[in-house]
Amino acid sequence: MRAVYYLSILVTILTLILSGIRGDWTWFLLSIIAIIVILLPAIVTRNFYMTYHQKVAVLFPIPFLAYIILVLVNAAVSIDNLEVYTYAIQTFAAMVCGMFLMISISASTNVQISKRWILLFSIAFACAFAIICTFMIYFGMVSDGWLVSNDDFKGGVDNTESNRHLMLPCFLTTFLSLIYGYLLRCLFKRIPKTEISLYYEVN
Amino acid sequence: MDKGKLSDGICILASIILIIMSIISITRAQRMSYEVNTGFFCAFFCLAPLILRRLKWVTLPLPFVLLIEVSIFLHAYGVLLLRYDFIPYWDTVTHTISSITVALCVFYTLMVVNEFDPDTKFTSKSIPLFIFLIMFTFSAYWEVFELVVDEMFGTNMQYSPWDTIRDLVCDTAGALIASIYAIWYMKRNSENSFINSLNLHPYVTKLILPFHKG
Repeated sequence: MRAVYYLSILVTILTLILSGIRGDWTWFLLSIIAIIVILLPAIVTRNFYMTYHQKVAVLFPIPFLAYIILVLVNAAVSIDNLEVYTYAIQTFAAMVCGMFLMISISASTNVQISKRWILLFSIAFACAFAIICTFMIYFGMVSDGWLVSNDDFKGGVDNTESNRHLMLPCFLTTFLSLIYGYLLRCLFKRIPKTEISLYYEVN
Repeated sequence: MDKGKLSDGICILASIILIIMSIISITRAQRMSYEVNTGFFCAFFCLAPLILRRLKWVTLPLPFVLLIEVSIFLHAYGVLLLRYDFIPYWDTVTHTISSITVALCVFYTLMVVNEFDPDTKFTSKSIPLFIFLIMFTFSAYWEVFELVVDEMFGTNMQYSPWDTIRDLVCDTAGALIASIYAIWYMKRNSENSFINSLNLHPYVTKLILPFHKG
């Protein structure tokens, strides 16, 4: 458990650095959120060695490790449509962050959230993050000179590529979050409802 | 006047006006079937709060019914009289009002969950967060729906990236306004009085029960 905890902190910091170097600002933002989320139990309890239930805590480093590996592999062997894979992993990372945030809210405030609603809100968090990505992509498109406004597409100019580029994170998140949600639901069944919304000591 | 009857009257009035506008649209102008079908569909949808109340499923609050009717009416009016094409900000205004309506619906649903789900308890400070999360989810689903429809049927629901971003900003504004109202409402009103005013059918409350198994 201690190894998972330290690994979680390490991979989020590595992801922050790597995404910053690559200029991958959606992952940069997600890494900041992830660092806050993984350290929330420590912040709330003022004890660095407090974290989440071990069965959910093991999920945390997975998407960030996957991103790091993907980026390193891409550096060696250029991967086609890299953004599709990064957004797919990002969806899971956002869901995990959302899930931990809901658990934290349930553990440290008067709010009570059942397991199913934790799952629902983690899917919602992933969708919300996809929307934020969409805004960031839009500003990137404007600065890169893409056709973006209604006037640009007058006279029958095709808007397909612009719309696809903008909507890629939302599109992937909409469908993948449901698949990931089903997998997380299978995991949640193994955790008693009285145990999930608590903080635990890192052993 | 009884609030229920006033609510029914507003629904019927909005529906009649839209039916008349649709008929005028057919007789006076060369309207495509999309516009007229939208008019009749919206006219029928205006009756939804009335039907729900008459079936004793739920009695929606009067201000909310008014908001629903305004949202539907403005959209149908914009389509039938081509206001979307001739008034620059019509789309923005209607989208924002519709977003407020949906966000309020989310708020009311969370209040009902709060009441009937023993494993879930929201506070007045946490409700805005959940409203925003759910509204962003609906926004994402809707924009993806528009993209998929465009890809499959060659329509042009998504005019441009700017159009999509503007819709998302409207949705955010709608969620913000509804969240401010939610905080104000929860501070001034008890949850019980609101739930009682809904006159929920037991079948509707049973829909909430599956959520509290875990």
